[in-house]
Amino acid sequence: MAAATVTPSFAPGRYVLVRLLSFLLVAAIAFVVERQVVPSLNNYDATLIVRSLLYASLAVSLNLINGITGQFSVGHAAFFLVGAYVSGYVTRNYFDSQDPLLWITGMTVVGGVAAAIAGIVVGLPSLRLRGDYLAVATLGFGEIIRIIVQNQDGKNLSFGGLDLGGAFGLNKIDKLTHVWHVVVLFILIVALCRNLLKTSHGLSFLAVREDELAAEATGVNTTRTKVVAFVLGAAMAGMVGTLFAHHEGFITPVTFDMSTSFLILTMVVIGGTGSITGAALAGAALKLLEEALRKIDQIPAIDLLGYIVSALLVLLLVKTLRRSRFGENGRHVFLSLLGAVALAGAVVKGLALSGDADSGYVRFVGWAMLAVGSLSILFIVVALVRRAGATVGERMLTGLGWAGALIALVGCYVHWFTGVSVVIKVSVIAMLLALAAFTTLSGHGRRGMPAFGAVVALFGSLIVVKMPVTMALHSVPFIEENLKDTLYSPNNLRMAIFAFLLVVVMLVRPIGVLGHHEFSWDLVKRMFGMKHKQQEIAV
Amino acid sequence: MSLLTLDRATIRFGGLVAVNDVSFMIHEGDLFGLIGPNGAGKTTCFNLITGVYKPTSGDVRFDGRSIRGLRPSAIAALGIARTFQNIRLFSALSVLENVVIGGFLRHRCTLTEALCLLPRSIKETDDLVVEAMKLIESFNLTEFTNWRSSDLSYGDQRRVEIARALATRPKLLLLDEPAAGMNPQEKQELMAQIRRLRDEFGQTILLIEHDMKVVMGICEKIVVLDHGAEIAAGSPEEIRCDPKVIEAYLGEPV
Repeated sequence: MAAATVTPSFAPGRYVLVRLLSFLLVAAIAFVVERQVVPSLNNYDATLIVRSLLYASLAVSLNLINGITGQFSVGHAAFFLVGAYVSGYVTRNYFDSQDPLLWITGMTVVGGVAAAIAGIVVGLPSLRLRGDYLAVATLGFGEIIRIIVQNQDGKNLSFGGLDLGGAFGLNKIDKLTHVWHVVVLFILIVALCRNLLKTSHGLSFLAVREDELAAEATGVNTTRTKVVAFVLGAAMAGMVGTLFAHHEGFITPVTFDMSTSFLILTMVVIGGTGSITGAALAGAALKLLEEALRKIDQIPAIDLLGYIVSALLVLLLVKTLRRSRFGENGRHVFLSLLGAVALAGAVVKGLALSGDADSGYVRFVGWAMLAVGSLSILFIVVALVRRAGATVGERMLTGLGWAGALIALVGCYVHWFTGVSVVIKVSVIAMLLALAAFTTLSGHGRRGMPAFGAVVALFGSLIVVKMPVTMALHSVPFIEENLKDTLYSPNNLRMAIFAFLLVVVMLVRPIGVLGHHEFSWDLVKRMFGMKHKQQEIAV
Repeated sequence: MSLLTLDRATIRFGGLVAVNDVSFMIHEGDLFGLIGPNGAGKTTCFNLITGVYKPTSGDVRFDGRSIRGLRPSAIAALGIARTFQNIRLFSALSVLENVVIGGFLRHRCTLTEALCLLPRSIKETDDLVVEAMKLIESFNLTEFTNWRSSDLSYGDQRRVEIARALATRPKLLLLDEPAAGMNPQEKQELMAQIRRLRDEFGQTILLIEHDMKVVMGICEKIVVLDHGAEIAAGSPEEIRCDPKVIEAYLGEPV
């Protein structure tokens, strides 16, 4: 973490300069977003930016409780709710349109403070609880708050006759949130967490996560640290809630139910428990994925079943092959062959599509598939001839890896011309680019090529196996009769998809994608070889 | 005046009396040993002193005041630091970070300052890092500074734990079986190090140890516990010849 790279000499001039530059940078980003980016976007795109950033902020704030302090809290949506409702209620009843910016700033503070109080309320009794027990308590707390709000309709069951709209929620909240508010809040929350980790105060939070008894014996007041973590995390979530309420204009209790808490938790766990970078990236990515799923066509139930069955089949085959007399190499060859079949399929399909006279877009996709498919097969041949790798299987997988990189590249290009929101397109491409840059520059790329090829091959095999499997499923009378007309909308399956993602990440990398790693300039420098690892030790 | 006084300290867990009526005094600059067979209540005694448990009856006085019922972090702040029998490092953190946390007690900046990264928080953190680096160097761990502490060997982890305890600048250092799991050479080095701590820096040390060579070699006063009760106290020579100790623990005169 940060402390490892602190230079022991504090320079006031540099300190002031860095602060000044950071503030200027934030102001510049806010200005560019508001004046340049937002006017060029339609409403939907702007909403996507706001929502993804708000959820990224939520994930970062939960990461402070879950990842950094290690207190497994599952009720984060409640703090989000408190901030949104308190500020929304005040604005709805007392807002005078004299100075909207001052008002929204004030409301952010109000929402933050209200949520912080909720944080104390849940933090104090939770101190005696650890692990699973704390999770259950916070889960219950989150639901209690939501259900109380749901019953506040100004009638019999309400406390003090307070009218929060009951299940219909609060509407007609003045839409005061601008996109740049959200950007600044996001940067603020990330900066606060990052600052904390740069000082020894942050280390005391980490110490509580690692070992409470040892932390206490070393002089860290664990009770205080835990409450502070809850209060800070809750306050941040409350501020996010404020901007959310003033962006949407209306809020309903359903928005803040258990599934929202789980979504935020999923973001933190997938991103890497304890990694601010990971939480922020996973937060934005998962929210965008959720929004993108709304736009995808419905999938026939039998197709979905076909995918599941063929995924199981492929995994089973791979597992059996590893133990068979063909061994590891045989498995690689088998996987690569299936991948190659998929590529050949792409060539054939491309040939058919490129002849389509009606739609230019389809023709374009056809040509792309044709070109990528043939080039990819060429890659495999080249890898085989150049003997890149120890065994035949590895060589083929390396070729497939390169093919995968090419497919991703062309996929990005084609994807640019689809009807998906520009925000999603840019984010997907940016993330792929970042991933590619990181793997190639840090040297993981070349070593990881066969592994990446195996992933490509798995997906390819999935497509190949899926076709006959689906046909077979169609011929089973029971399935055909019952599921013939059933369609699934990906949007309704989103929790299942997130759960699946979570399971995969937990199986492959239990500490989350980024683990405890953070993005930092030192990392960039190391990647480019500007800083040798030994240098760091000689602080 | 004594630094630490156990005054008829007793703790019961239900029907079990883990520590029964134990009294001893540690003076400043002492190198004090606590020995006894397994289950004699040595570690429980440590837990009483550091506030993990509250004595059922009796009192623990440190530096002129009673510390009975204070929470462990408050006791650490008064100047008692400890290591653990089964190493409890912050395993995902680096060696440096582990030792820096030891200095956390002494830093004065508030949480707000840390969140805003005001100059004082940076300066104090920097100072702690410099101090920690010195400590790490004195334990010959410099090459491992940025290693994850769980990646170190067992003996090195023990030394990191001692460094972390020392980083709190304790008046009294409690070592719970510091030599456990070390090879003879490492034990020799550890003994030399402990003695140097006392001789050069005047560090008061209370240690639990099973290795008689280590205990007899460096401790000046020893208390022997058996079944929670104190059965003997005195210099190593006296302990060596005490028939009760021989019967309960040593087995034969050493």
